[in-house]
Amino acid sequence: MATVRYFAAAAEAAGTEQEQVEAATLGGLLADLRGRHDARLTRVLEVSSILHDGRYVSDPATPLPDGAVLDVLPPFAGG
Amino acid sequence: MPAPLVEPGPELTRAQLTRYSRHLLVPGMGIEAQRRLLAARVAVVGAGGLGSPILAYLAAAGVGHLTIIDDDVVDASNLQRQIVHRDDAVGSPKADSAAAFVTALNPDVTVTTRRARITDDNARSLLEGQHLVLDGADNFPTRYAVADACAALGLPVVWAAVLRFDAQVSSFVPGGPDAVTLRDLYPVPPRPEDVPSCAEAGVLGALVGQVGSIMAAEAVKLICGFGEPLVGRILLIDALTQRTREVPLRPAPPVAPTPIPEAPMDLNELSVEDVAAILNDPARPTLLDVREPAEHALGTLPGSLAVPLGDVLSWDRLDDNLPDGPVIVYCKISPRARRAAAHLVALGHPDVSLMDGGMIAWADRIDPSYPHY
Repeated sequence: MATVRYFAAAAEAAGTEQEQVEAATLGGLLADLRGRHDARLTRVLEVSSILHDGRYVSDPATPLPDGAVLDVLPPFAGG
Repeated sequence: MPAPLVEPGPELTRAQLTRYSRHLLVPGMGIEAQRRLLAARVAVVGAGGLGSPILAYLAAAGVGHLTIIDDDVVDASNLQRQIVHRDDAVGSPKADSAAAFVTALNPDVTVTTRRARITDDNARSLLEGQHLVLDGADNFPTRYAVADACAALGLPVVWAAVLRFDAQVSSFVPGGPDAVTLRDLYPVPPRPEDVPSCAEAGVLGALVGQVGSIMAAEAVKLICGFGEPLVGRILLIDALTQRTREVPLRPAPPVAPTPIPEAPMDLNELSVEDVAAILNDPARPTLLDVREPAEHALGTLPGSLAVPLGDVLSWDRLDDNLPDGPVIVYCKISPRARRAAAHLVALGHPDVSLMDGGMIAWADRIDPSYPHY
């Protein structure tokens, strides 16, 4: 079981700040999220950084150990 | 505890002992910290929403040498949050307006203004010689240029970004195996049309005050070497719930994916005059306004179909979403319309045009009753 934490526009698109997902790889996790949420979250996931325990991940084959924490951070640059 | 970035300057004068007494009284700060602040050379990138509180608090704290880098002029739409600029400064360079504020606040501070836009070409020469940089820019190209130049120069960067009710804050301090920069957080520079700006999406004014104040506090801590700076972690603020969260940030894997730049699509472009000429023609193409609902409320072209860019991009077919026939896409200026038009073409739409310059060009050249925003 992995924990996904959503921030800013990602939390808005997901309708929650956090959820638990059963997935063995990053690709499996993203497929699960795309399947259960509407297209807005898919869009946000495409542009967001996903950090696994603080480290940027993008390879769908990235293994997710039980208890992994993934943070979904949409980029913005306003100042 | 981090090592101080700056060696203490000369002894404080009697007037300075009074002026800075509330910092001198804080355990862990004291006279030596104040001498460090007065000797510090700090560059502030962007004299806008974040730059305003940064400059105000750094100047008040007696940070001795401030360099303000901004190529923009004060616009009326800045005044809702950029509190160093006054109503009578509209039209003046932001760097000058901010410098006047700093000088009036604290004559101990030497101000240097650079009316320039930071790019990869000039970033190193603009930032060289500083002890610390605070990044309050409003766009990604400037932010990457600052991040890369500071990494190369070995300069720490206090970084934050804001949009609507959300903020992200961190300090990127070079040196050591765990050092991170903006490129560890966002290794792939986002395409401009994928990232809404404050000019398109808005921002809560007091939030930039809150976030810029945090940046100023981080700068003081780094200069003087006390406390625990926001290093290796990102502070995330949601002003809507007034909750903050924190995530760790570690170095990104060495091989970050490089985006394949999208070839610019050859779109049929119409001028606002072209569109004005056919506006009342009942057989005209469908007008598709891809701005956000709050922008529609400021005025839209009559008879437009209003669908925000994010929704257009989630379409996977044209049927049910658009009437048959040609379509003209527009937004505030053009980038979002370009992105939406490209998506329609990718879905197989045979006749997509773009209204170049968007509603701002419309307000300038066709109908001045539409507001600039």
